[in-house]
Amino acid sequence: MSEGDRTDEATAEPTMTLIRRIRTGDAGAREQLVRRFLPLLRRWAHGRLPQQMRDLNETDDLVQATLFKAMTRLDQFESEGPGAFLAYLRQALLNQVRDEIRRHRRRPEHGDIDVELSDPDTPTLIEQIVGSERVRAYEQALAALPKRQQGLIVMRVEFGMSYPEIAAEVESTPDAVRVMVARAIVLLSHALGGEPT
Amino acid sequence: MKPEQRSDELESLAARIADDEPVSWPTARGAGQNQTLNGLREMQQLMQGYRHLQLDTGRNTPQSCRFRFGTLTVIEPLGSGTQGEVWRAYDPALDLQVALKLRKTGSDTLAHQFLDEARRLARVRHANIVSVYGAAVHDGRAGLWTELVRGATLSSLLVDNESFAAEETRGIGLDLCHALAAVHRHGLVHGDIKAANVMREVSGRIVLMDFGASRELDAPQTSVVSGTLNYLAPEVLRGAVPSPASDIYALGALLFHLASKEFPHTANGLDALMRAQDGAGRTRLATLRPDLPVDMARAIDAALDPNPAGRPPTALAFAAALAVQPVRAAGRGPWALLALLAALALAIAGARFWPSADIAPWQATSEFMRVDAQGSHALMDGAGIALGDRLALQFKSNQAAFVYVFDDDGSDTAAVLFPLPEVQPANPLLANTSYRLPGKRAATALTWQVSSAAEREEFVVVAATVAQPELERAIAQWQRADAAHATRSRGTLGLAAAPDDAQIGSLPLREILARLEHGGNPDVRHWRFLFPHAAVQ
Repeated sequence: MSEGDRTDEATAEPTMTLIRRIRTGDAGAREQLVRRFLPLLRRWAHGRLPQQMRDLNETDDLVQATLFKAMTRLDQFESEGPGAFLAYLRQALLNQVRDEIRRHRRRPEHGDIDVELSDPDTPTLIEQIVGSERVRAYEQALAALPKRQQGLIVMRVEFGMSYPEIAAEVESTPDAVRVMVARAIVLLSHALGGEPT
Repeated sequence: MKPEQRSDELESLAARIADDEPVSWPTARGAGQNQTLNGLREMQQLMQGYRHLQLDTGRNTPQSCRFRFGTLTVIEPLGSGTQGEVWRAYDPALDLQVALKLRKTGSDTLAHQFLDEARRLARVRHANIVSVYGAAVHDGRAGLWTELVRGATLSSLLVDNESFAAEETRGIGLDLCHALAAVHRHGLVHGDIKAANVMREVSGRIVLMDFGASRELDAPQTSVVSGTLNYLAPEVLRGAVPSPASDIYALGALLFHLASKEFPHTANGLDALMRAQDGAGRTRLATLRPDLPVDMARAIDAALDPNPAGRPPTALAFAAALAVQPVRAAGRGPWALLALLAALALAIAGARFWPSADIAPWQATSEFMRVDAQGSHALMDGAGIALGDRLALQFKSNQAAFVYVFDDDGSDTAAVLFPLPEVQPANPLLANTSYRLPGKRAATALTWQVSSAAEREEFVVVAATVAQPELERAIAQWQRADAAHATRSRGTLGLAAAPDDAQIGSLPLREILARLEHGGNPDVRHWRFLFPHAAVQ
């Protein structure tokens, strides 16, 4: 996605509006939603897949399957509020990635597996950069937050969306979003700082 | 500070982290704020990690290709030095972004000299040394490419922040001591240790870079003074050949600089610096930073001794001097005190953990694992291993145990693989707990990587139910500088099983173990593992 695309994105229809239109059978809205999220999710998935699975086609297949599956469950996002759709997509994709990792992993030849060894020995890019324990602690702390805060953090931290983009998504202003993101991060950090390191 | 103020301050920090901007961490903390601040530090690391991923995937696209170097797609310039310029590039074979250093057109350095840097660097594999991936000449330009370290140089961190805290300085010092020990034991001298040549990765890993000034220990002497002035040892300034001792001096100067933002001697030009070094003395680090632990400041000052013989004799000896010195009980070594503390903790935890003859006899298991993308697999003694293999040791004992792991490379001394500074777990290992060693640094799980093309790897694992001060002292004192030569000179190729009568190659280790195990001492046991290299290119 180029910078130009992202500027357009900020002025585009909010995802919630698109979802409502898709539910009325609007094929154009469906295409717009796919166009909006596919590159974002593809980029995100690249950092969450172990190296041997980072083949471009495989990543695309996973992302598309997740996105199309989510299209069949649009009802629930309307009730969970702005930003929830992207957080849902991310979680669904994460689950798919975990399934794929399990499928790719060969069982150890012999020997008992203790808790530590049951960690995936196939680190993803983000795990390679910051460490798998840090990623795991973050995931746990994130899952404990309200859905709205989850969405804000995911959009800013993981997807690298600008404040105007997030503002368009949650139907707010960039300044207000900046404050909301900061508060969500403080909330998450409090839980994260309590984790044993 | 009022609660609302604290809340505002935390939100302001969070906003800066979310915007990927530098953060000045507050020093005054309450209990609740402390927890959130710890979490914010974690978030900063995560944020930087995700930001790098976004940059990576955004820049791997063909339209961002500036030019090609062999199979590498060159993306953007990262920096420039006297010898070469450094580019961010993409290696499609590795599916990784790499740092590509290209010899400058018109550089005085000859292409083969430039490539020598890659060859020297390729010999040393260490967690705190940048990994080299390849070197080649394309279209008349020599280039070498290494891992792309994502982070900041220590010099840029010093520009943006106050001087480093005591524990940060110590941690960096220990990492660099171990990196230098690896360099020296491969028969090399780095030659240009300085803040601009050390990076702190976003994960916190310290990485020694730029081996452009490195040289073989036994290379012919030249009269050219190379290196960076403020870090040059007095003897090098006077024309002596750079040596491990001058690397130790430079590391001392670097730690002095990190702790104080000053240099031991400051002067404008070579002659002025020599006069300053000849002068009546310099300011001691303890004067500039009275808050530093005395032992640590003393260790750094010792490394800066104008006389090479007055410095720590090896990088490992420097590490031992820098390492935490627990309060000593009268007549006992520090490890005896640690053992006592551990024993107390175990006693409090419950009598079933207490190592006593009244409970089940001591049982301990020790097994090497090969760690790869598919998982961890047990390595039987005698199994073939290959260059680049990542190994770990699975250890479990029914009593608390002090564990020591050595790479016995047949020389007079053995390389210490465990325990390691800054790595958890530390001795003693708890009873009835399965450990995978070497353990973890911060949140990163570590392995040992087979990094030399020796004919075989030999490991000695020693476990004891009580601390072994003699072994601890030996670990701190061993000199490893000459071990590399022995590594390449022994054994035979192939998958031969370990000979039954083989004994531990390192004489001091063999002798210490013989003393410790004398008379069938039930408190100490050791295992020896031999893994031949399956194939050598």
